[in-house]
Amino acid sequence: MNNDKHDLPSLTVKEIMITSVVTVFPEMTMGEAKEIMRLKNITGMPVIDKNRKVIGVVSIADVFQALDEHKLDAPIRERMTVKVHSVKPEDSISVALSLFRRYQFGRLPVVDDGNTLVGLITPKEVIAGLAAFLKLEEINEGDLGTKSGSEINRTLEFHLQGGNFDQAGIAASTLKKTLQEIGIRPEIIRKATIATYEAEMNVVIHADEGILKAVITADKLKISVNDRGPGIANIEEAMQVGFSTAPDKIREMGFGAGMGLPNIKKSSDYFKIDSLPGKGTDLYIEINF
Amino acid sequence: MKLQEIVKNLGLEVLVKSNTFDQQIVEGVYVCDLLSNVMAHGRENDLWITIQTHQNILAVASLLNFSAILLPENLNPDRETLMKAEKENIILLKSSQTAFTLAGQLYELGLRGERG
Repeated sequence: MNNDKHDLPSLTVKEIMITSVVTVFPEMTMGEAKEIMRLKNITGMPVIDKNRKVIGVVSIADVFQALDEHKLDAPIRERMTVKVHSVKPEDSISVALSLFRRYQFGRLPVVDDGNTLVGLITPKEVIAGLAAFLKLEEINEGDLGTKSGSEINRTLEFHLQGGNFDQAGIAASTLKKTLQEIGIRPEIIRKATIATYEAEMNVVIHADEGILKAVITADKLKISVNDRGPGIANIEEAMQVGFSTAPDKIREMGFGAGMGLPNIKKSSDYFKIDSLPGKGTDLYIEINF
Repeated sequence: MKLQEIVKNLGLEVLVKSNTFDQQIVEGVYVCDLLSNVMAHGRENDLWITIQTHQNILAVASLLNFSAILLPENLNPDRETLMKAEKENIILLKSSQTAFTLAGQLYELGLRGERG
């Protein structure tokens, strides 16, 4: 089978980037950066000079560190990341994709040849771009070299960040849209959506980070979630309805009721979970079409 | 039943109006604040009453194709929730009544909450 990336270069960064970018100036304080991120609901911003040249990036990680060191009144200039990776508008989406994969960046500034900021992309735009691209591919299914036109084989991959409640639900909603486009029955989509959402929330609530991969074949959906995190000491216990190790703060939000894993199991036709305490958890499920 | 009728009958405040507001229908009602429970039992075109005000209620409502989210007891959504609901076209309603009273009024209008 061909490499999945075979046609990706036809999509460029320019086609998927955000053009109204929230930015900050280097002389502003880390406290101000924190407030802007909170209000705008974002996890990082390019730092630009008066001529809109990118001179750094300030992320929520920088804010946390400043917070730890009681340096929220320090200028952004002193705390920002200066070694910035960026992409050009005419770069292909695969260039951005490989940078995201290699460095796990939350965002990439898009700059012109003079290093002037023209846009921004995050994995969210790449996923949306890919989803749109996959829809196009559907029309050309005959070109994929498969035996019959009904054979589907698609992979969606999402990087999940522990503690990032803003982004929670994106994997489930993207997968839901893709399954709807393919024409999967609503009751199957419902099961897939519930399982994916719960698996996604488990990573956001408990783990440091994780990868959720959904493979759609002709007759089933296979979802694997591999996370780096505390792991589960006693899986049998964790599978019981009502058992949860979620902190009070999370419970107040209506999560952590000990229903996640049982919900996932109930929604799937095959369910397997392995965990290494202190390392992470691997979940694999299948849902038949 | 049309959501519009419900809004009028119960005197609900519309915080965020989607572009499908006029056509939106309601087929059932679900009252719950545990998101996993809502994920497991919520149905398409349900009107969902919850006291949760953070932005994750939007993901749940959108994943399950709810008609709208109704916040009881004069609760206000978080600022992020309000902004995101507008962006994602999710109807947010509020009322000064408790969830119990709202459920009773909706039942009187003929709506039911039986799960299949």
